[in-house]
Amino acid sequence: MIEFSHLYKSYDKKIHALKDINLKIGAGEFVFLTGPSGAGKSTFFKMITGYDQPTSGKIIVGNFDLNNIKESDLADYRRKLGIVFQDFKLLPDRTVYENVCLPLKIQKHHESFIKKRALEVLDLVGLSEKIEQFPEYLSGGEQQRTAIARAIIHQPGVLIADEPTGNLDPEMSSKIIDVFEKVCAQGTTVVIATHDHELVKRKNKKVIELMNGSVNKMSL
Amino acid sequence: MKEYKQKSIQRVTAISIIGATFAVILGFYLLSKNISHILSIWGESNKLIVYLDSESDDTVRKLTQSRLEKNILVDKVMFFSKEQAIEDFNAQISGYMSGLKNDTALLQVIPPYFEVYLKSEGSLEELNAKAKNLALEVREWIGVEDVSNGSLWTEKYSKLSQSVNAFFMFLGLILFILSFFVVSSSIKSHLFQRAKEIEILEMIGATKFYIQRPIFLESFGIISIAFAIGLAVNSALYYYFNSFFDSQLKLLNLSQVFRFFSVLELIIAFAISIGMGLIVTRLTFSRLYRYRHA
Repeated sequence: MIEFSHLYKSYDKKIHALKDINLKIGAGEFVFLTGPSGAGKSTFFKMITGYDQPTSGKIIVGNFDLNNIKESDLADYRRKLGIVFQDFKLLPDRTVYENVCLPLKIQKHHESFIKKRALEVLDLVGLSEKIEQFPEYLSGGEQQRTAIARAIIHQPGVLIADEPTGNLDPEMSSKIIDVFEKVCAQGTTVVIATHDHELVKRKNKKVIELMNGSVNKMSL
Repeated sequence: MKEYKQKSIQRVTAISIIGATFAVILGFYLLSKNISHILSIWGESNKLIVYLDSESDDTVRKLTQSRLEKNILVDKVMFFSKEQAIEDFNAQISGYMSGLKNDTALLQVIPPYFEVYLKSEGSLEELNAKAKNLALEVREWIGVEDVSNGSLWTEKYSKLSQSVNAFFMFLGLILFILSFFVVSSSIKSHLFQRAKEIEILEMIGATKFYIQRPIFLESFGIISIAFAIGLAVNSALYYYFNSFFDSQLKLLNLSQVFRFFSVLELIIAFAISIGMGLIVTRLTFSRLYRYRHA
């Protein structure tokens, strides 16, 4: 469960990136976050990931009160998240396989389990043939799918994705959204930021529309 | 792959810069230590010359010798009779003032004397002060005409030695501070180039320990290899100069006097280097976190 209550985020007291956000996203829900550029989607994600602190208001994700989270608990919290960054954030000196395995390595899982899971998710995103490649030799779409595989390998409690289909063709976009739905069906809360209105319409899920840092519309 | 190569190049660059710094600072230490050592060896034969009355008899000589030998500051006493003293005088003077050899009146005033070697305990300054005090004391003894302790020369020498040591300490301090900056900036730039990697690992839930451990190990490795390079350069120079002294300046006997680092010195230098590297790594991490969260 994700809960934002009277949340504000300002930079230098002048730029109000988020204004009085009040919302609840239930466990296992699938939500699209929409809005034009500069509406506050990235700031919204920064709040959920604990990368930044709100100026005022409360954020609770699962059992974690992010306003008062200790530095030592932050790593533990982030292990329960799966994040697909808009710029992918892949480690350039590691192969696709090594990048995808990272969350499980950090959680010190057994090597055989890591390998099994990595091959599963790489197959799911259609990258089985590219496991030994370095990111710089992949197309934008392949890099994005690597980032998606890394975000879902550890079956996170919350999956957030910033424009995860932005570099994909319609067919691959549809496949990736299917993957997210599968992950959601297993109990993961999924929040996807997108500009793709067609996709949002087609999937008929809960939509939160941000505009100038405030919630403009919430459907379903 | 390109990134992997880039990382290796960064490591090699850091090792080269830090290695060169260590070579300079270790070389400086070796040089200053040996120069101070040579100065102390050249200055350590601190002795008194105790001249007896020309007319003093054997009893006075024996008594004076016994009193000198019993003194706790004295290491060795050597007696030179009037005849030996004249012989020595003639041997030293005959080459350039041969006329004096036949000046019986002059030769008659040359007294018998003792060469009194003092124990080499304490610094050059302490030895000098002890010699001076002993000379004052002995000068008052019956049968002693005069005492020479060469205090002017030893005082000047001791001042030179002090100045050289102070100069080396000052230069050493500056070099140490400079080397700290060189090591610090090399490690900083190496770490800042990995800022993106650190951020990604943090975002996917890596603990500080997980992120920092390999980087601390890497810093340890870089410093160790750089230290080994610095040491190897100095070993090579040490053996080169030693053989040069042996073949070209044998007269000065420098190859017998020159000393390499002791094991203890190497352990201390290595510990300081590693400590410096790890402190810089730790400070850089703090700066990196501050910089990112600003």
